[in-house]
Amino acid sequence: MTWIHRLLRHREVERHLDKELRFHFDEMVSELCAKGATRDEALRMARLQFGGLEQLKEDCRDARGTRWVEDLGADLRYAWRGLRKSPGFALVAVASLALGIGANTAVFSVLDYLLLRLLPGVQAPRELSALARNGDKELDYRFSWPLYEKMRARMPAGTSAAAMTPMTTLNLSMAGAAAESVRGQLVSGEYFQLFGVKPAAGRVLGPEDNQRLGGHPVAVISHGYWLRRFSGDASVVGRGVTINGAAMTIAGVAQEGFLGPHPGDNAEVWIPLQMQHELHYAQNANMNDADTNKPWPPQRGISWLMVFVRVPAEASLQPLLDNCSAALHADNELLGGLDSDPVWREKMRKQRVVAEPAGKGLSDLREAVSAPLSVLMITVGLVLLIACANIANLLLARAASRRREFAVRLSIGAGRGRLIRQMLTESTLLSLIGGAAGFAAGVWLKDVLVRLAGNGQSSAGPGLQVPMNWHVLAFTALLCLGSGLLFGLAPALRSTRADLGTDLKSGSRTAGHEGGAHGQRWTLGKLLVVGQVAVCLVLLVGATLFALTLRNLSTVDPGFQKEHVLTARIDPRTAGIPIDRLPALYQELLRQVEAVPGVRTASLSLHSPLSGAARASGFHIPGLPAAPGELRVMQVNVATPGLFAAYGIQFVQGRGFTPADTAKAPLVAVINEAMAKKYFGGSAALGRQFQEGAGSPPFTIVGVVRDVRMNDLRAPVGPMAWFPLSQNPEEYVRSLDIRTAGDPEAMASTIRTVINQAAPALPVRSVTALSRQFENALSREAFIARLTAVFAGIALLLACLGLYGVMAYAVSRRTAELGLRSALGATRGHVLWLVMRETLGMAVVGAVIGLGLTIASMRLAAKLFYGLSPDDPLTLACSALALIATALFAGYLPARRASRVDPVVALRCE
Amino acid sequence: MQEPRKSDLLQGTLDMLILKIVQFGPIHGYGIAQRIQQISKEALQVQQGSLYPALHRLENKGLLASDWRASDSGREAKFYTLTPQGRHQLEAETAHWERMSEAVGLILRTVE
Repeated sequence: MTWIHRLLRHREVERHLDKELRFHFDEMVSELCAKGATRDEALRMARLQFGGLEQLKEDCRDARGTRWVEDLGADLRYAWRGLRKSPGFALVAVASLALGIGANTAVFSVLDYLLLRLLPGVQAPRELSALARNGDKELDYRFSWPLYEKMRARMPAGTSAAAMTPMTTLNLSMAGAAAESVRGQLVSGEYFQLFGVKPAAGRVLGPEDNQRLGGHPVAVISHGYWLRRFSGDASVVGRGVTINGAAMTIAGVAQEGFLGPHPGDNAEVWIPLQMQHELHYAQNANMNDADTNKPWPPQRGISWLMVFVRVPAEASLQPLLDNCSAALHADNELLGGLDSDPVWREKMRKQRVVAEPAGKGLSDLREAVSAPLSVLMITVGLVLLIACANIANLLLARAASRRREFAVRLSIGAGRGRLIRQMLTESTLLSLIGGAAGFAAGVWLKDVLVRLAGNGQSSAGPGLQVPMNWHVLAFTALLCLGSGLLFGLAPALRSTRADLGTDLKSGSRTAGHEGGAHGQRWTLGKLLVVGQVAVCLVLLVGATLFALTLRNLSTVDPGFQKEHVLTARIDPRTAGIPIDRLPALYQELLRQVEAVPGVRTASLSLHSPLSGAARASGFHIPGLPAAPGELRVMQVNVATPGLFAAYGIQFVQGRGFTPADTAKAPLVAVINEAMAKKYFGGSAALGRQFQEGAGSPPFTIVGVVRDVRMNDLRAPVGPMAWFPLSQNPEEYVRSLDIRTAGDPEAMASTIRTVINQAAPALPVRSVTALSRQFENALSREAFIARLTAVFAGIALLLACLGLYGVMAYAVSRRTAELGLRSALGATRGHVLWLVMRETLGMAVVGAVIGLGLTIASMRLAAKLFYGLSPDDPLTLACSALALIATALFAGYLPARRASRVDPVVALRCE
Repeated sequence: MQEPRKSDLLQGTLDMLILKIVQFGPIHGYGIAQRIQQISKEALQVQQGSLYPALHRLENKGLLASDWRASDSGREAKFYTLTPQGRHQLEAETAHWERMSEAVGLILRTVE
């Protein structure tokens, strides 16, 4: 019989053992009988000689190789019974572990996906880089096509490069199907080579797709989009589609798993960038002496392309960057309009091309969520720490309460190793159950996180899909097993080192070795509680500061009235509507929307506040030249007269636009207070003039409005100007804004229908209330505030449970002592104070240590706060006091029990 | 619980004796005890407490095999037989033992 066989047939093996020994016994008896003894005598003698049958059986079982497995089974059964007998302990322990492990798995999965994972096909993070020029403050990732071509020509051998636009929304339609919004990029022909992407069907784009301006009406679709939209049908290659109004042919499908270089914002379509003009693409560009209405690729003055380069792993980037910088300087010299200002020229000369590691891709979402996710990661890490401390404390207390049991078992011959093994089995079982619960919690929490993190992202397309990370799961599994073993081992070693005499004497009157006032002052259990209190304070203060930040931001005056406003995002540009038909379209839209009952005012503008879109432009003031090196930049919006009324933007001075501001009338502008104060002496601004470029016609300022926070609620407001749409009839507006009489959301579907009727070809991206957009703009802050609050609450709860456990245990150990004290005349208040003093001591020491930790750690998170200092004394004091108060409450329950100890019962309880 | 030093010595010896007895043919536990006692002329008495754990250990190591068959008295008993591996072990241990006892004997017989 093999050992596994024996293990499986455990019962049969036991029966055989019994039968074998019984045979021996019976043979002995019959031999003794044969020698002349009576049967009774024979039985007695045989038994004497045979010794303990059970002991013999135990020895035989030991001799079998499967003993440990059988013991494991027994230990597991015993542990399970033990846990079922104390469900409170089991529940708290499993819940602690589940929360700690679940939260960590979820947060780390998302973190890993967004922050740590390399793009498919990339081996090292530095292998792939995005080029940028180091400008004033931030890196500028945009280059013109001619500059890209020049840089590429100078790149060392073995280097590959590609140019591309950021991810953009495209309007895709096919014969016999409704138009839909997809995410995509305009790319140079080297793009797929650079990323090493092969076609799954048809072909991908190649260098031949760079040849002719406007001459490559082809598109490559992603594998995911192919499956989702075309069910993986290979005949899709060669099919005609219309993208942003231009007829295109699907040339092929990219290889599975390639989603573009922006994790979290997956590409579905790629089109040669020579098709920019045909697609009416006009985003994320830096203009300098350029004509936006002509095709962009040949223009040196329009920087609109990101450049990715790939160098062999061992090669240095420096020669490449030197060459590119030289190309950049040559290019800067060719640009006009820069020669007048020596400071500016100097700045241009100093400009260098630098490389940013892009092996993990470039992600806006990553930028947006990396700080919150890091905060969360630290938060859940701390919660796990507290949870582990709790488990340790629970196991310690449980082991201590079983000292007598262990003493008894040791004294009747149980091996120490055997007892330790059994306790380890118990704690491992506990952590395995906790780990399983944690996995379930992790799967759920991950989805919640992804939903919350993705909130406010208005991107079309498949959205963010974060797979469960198996490495993380393995890590967490190890973590939970490790914590079970570690925190099971300490109490196991302690309890089995028991001094049998003391423990068997039940020792309650001598107050035991731990937990008692006369023993060690700071036991392991108490130290754990102090640590928990300290960590808890960090989380509490953090949560409070984030909540205050959210409150501060949501009460910031944005300069507009966010209630009763509905904004519709429309896109006449990607619909391919020609410029000469725009005025009629705009007029018809406004006329029909304003006719809807409940609509007070409607207006059209380039972009609405909080939409994330913006346009900036330099400006000149005649008679007030810029100081050397001064950069005059203003935010720009173009709108119909109703805009200021629709948003409730208040005028400080002057007027808004009127129908009289026609294309033939003098050019006018409305500016904000910030611009008026900075450049026009505040109240003297009316009637003054400024220009967009040195040679362009001047605008006369007809009105000054209060500062409006367009996209960033935190940053101070800079100069901004509004221009009438009637004087800029070639502009493609993106936003239709409506002030409603009642609830704006109730009107959303009506408005959508009206827009569709007025302009059937016009894509409507979304119709949302401005107040909703305001909430979305704060979603990151709300996300952090909500989650840190939840985790701080959990931490507080866990810490209180830990404290309660330690104190309840200490009180139970001291029952006799406390009884004795009250018998000798201690009052209830006296006994209460005696116990509470210990709690207070732990809470205060914990809070003091916590304050130090908090001040150190909050400085790291300082840039996430708004309108308060990271070591805000009021918050610190309130959190510490709240923590101590909660701790005292947790300690009060056992203390009250202690004060009610009946001396007679306590003294008799031996 | 056994005292370690004594049992170590006895255990090795007992294992060898058991293997030797089993070499003569299939035999049950009780028979082994009887034979050891008989052959050693009552000098060696094997306790059940040592015998059965030893048998199970040897079986677990693959030195002995067992099956159930009828004994002389007609009752079913567990009979042990030597495996090839056990035979090998027995030869090795016998040789070792003889070398050892000869060595010990040489020392003890030394005069002066």
